[in-house]
Amino acid sequence: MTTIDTTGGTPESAAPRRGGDGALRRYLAALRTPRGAAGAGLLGALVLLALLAPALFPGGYDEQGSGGLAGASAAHWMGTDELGRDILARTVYGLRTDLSLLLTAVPASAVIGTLMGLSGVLSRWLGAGMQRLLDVILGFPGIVLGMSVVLVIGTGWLALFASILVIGLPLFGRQARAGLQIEQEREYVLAARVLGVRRRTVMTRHVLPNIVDPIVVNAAVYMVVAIFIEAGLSIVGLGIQPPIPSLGAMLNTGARYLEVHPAYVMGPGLVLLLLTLAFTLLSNALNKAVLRK
Amino acid sequence: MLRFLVRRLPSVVFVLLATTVVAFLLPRLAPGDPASVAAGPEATPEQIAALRIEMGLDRPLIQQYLDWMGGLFTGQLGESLQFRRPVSELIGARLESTVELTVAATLLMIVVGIGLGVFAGSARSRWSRFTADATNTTLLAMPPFLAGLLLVILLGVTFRVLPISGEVAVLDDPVIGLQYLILPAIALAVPMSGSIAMLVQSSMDNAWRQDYVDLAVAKGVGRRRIAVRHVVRNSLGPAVVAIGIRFGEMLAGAVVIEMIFARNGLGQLAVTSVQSADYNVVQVLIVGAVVIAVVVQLLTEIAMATLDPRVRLGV
Amino acid sequence: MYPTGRRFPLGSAVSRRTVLGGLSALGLATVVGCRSAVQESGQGGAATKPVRGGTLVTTVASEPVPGAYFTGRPGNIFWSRNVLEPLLLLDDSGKEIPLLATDWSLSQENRVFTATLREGVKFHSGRPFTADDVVFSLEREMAGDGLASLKGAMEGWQVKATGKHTVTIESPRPLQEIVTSILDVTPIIDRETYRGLEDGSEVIGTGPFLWSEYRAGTDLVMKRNGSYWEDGLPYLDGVEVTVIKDSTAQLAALRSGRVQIANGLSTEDAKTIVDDSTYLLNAHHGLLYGVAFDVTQPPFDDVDLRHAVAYAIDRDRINNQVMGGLAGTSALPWSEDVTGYPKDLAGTYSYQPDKARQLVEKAGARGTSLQIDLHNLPVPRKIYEILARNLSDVGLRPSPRELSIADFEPQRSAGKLGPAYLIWSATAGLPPALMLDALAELRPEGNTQGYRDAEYQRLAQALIDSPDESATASRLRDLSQKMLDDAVFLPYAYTPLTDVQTSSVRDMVTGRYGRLMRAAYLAK
Repeated sequence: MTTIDTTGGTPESAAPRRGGDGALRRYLAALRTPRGAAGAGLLGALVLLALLAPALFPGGYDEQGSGGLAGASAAHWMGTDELGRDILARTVYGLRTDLSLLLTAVPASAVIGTLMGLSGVLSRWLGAGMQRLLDVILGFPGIVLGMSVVLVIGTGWLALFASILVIGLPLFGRQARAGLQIEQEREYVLAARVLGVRRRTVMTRHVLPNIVDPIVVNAAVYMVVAIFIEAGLSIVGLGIQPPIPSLGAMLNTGARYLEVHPAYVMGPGLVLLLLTLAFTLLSNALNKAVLRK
Repeated sequence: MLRFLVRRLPSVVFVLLATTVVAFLLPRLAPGDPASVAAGPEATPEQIAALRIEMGLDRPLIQQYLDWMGGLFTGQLGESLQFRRPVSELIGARLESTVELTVAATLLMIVVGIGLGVFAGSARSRWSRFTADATNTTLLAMPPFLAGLLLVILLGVTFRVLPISGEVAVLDDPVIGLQYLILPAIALAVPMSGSIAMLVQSSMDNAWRQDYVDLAVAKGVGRRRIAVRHVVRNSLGPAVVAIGIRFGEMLAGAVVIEMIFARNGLGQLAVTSVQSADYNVVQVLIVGAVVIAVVVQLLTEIAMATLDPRVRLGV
Repeated sequence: MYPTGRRFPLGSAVSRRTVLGGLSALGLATVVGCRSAVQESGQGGAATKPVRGGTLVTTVASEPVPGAYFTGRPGNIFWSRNVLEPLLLLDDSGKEIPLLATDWSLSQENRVFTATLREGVKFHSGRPFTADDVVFSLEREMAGDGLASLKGAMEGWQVKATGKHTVTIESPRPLQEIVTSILDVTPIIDRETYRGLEDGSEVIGTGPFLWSEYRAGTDLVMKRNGSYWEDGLPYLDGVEVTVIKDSTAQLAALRSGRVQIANGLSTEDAKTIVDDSTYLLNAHHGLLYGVAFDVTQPPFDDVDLRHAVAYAIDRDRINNQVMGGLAGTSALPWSEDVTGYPKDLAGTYSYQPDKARQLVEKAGARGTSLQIDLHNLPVPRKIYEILARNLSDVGLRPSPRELSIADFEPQRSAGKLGPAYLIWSATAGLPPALMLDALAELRPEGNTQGYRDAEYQRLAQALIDSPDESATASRLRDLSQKMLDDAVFLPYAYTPLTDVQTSSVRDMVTGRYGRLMRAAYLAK
């Protein structure tokens, strides 16, 4: 489907660095750059908008009027959809759906993927097995994988969540494994080993903090991909269940009325673009901050 | 190189084998019965049962898998459950459409991506740098289907300049065919060209800081000349590799674009086959996609080694 | 209410956008230099005499399925009746058009049907057509080949060739209501090559066009049959069918003149192009949409709750917002033109949310969660959204389960859907005696809702055994009343199928299973 950058066009994390105590400070510094600030501000505004949806639109997203596909008016700023529902309200609620997916599925994917990548620490065989598993997942085009997941567990929020989670695993897993291999060869790790420090301690104290950076940057990058996945699956008709709106599902339906009601696509399209823009800016800023250090 | 290929062989074979198993099992795990799709909504259970036998779906899974694998090695890709036609024929009929789209989008991506990247990498004024950055970021953030829909509204509905959907084969009628190709190709190429541009820009930034540039500057060579002769030339390597990777991704990305622009390509075939549980087509398409991905991955590694002698073909 | 006419207006007037579109296209023509795909078209004025020559290009949204030859498929409508011909064809006003039969009659209390066949007809292979071919085709159909959809009503038929060109059908049941509908769905197939129909590798019939090139799932080319049985026909050199799944794309194809008939436009898109002069809308036959209940388990084992749903459905909203205002909203599954249609019963369930709310209370079902199964397709999804809103308004809590067709249909035929599920059916408009067998939700035995009722079975059988028109009328009324009382299947929309054609296409006959283009031509 979309440009799923699972090859990791992100940080060349080879540079040696000290423990992760400075990580948070680095990220905060990234947010103070123009890009970072713009991204964070935009994302903040969108999250706020989504949170305020019930207050802004007390009628909810399913208030059906009599006419359909009406143009803009005082009551409906962006007009109504085919069932006479307010497009603006549905867009904001759709944003809510998208954010609820992104902010849960992407972190889940990052954590599980990282653990899979690091599983080599427990046993060589397990690590190699996981690596092959990730290779296989990576081989599947994102949309095909997503469609398969949806077909196996049925359409709905959970299916979208699972699709986003699974498609992201190789991205995080491979990154974690690469980081692990580099860190394990480093002198301080070898030294710690020689000194008899336990493996687990070496991992948590030394290795893990050093691979956090690329994982965080990748998570920001993957947010954009996750938006593409939701929308892509919606466009092939396997998205969220009606009548709940999502940005992708609205684009899918709206595309049917391009001729008669362009605003139907423009509204959710614009919000979707702002959302991807926010995460793109954030990931750029984080990436730069991490590299600079 | 040969040694490299030999060393990579086991893992490649493993991935491909595992993929065939997954590609075989996944569609069959999904609920749904191709026989009942073929039989239609008003069919009786007996008609459906008869179709299941005719389609060979009553045989044990292992046997179905082994038959299919045997067929793969002899070039028999199987028969579509939906159309009762050889899968190879169905794919062949749609290959041209997808390849045309992918090639056109790749060309666009190269031109736009490298152009924009070189512009951004050589821009000096604050304003032009900002413009380049903003364009890059927007392109990067733009989902291809959204680009597609916006293009449709602008050029297909508001100003009816280009056909917004359908297709005519370029080989049959180049003038009309190209017009059908423009919008979907742009939509597909847009986000990818953003990432190419970024890559070019950052490697140019890097190249400007190299010693040989300082040397050239010291010798009094003009900035323009340095940019063309040294910086750009030395910065395109990574972009070439990235373009290679992207080409593989585009084949997959074509699915959604084909839906929006109603092109009868492989993506459409994949979607209808999944919807009607046409296992035999789905499994071949999945394996095909994985084979392409694996080959592209190998080629990329080889290309990187050729471009950059510091990279050796290790594991 | 339900439109039966061939063409009808749809809000006309050439819009400003069309004019602007034309202008900008001209602009492009100068920019690009030569041709523009947007406006490469040419429709002409009004010719009255048939014109020989030309290729008619059609588009359908779903692919042709040659293996489904004894039933209907939307993808088959532009080829099936032009390659394969039945004995007779029913057009959209119910008129019987003789094709391979010239004459027919009923005798012995309507239980024996005798047909005289056309002489001098040859299959595309050159073999002459005789009564044996009719016997063969009907026997294959009774055996269930070609996905035969009406074979249930043919049980016990004895088909005999009584001469080289005469055929009789003897049935244990009266035939007057159903026999023409069954012959309409039965094309005569070639016994030497009929297996080629399965994959479309060999499709041989007696029709005016030859099955020439076929690429499964994308396109089909038919060429003129030079030795067609009627001299001088067909006028066209060929007919092409191309598959365009997307409505917007079909619209673009019509606008650009790439195709002359499009089947598969959404109502909204059809409305944007139909102007009653250059582009015409054909509405014909129909689809029946309704909700069915699993009556073997709570909550819909309670008839009060089923009545509540019946009163809760806002049929007019469904018609206006989903069907573009073209649908009929009767609560009966029959079309209005069937024999003895009980018109006064059609409005039994109107939109009365208050009454529905009371019935929900009476059933003690307020706040009940219920799952509604539906196809994951745009139209059922929209209907669901309206229905869900209607049901929440009367105190129920619906949730959807969207299933692919591949998943929905086997569960439907196994009776595993529910407690409620949405269906649509192309059996709409068939004689009720046939629908009772063809539409699974109406079957007296083995229906999909687990509904077993001795009275219903008796009334249904009585209708099937009805010897004449007046008995049919009274028996249909009794059955309809029973259906409405028990409410195990609630129709809410009866919509015509539509296609849009350019006005240059003339003299095409619309049949339920296909367009007849033997005498069609393209006006210059």
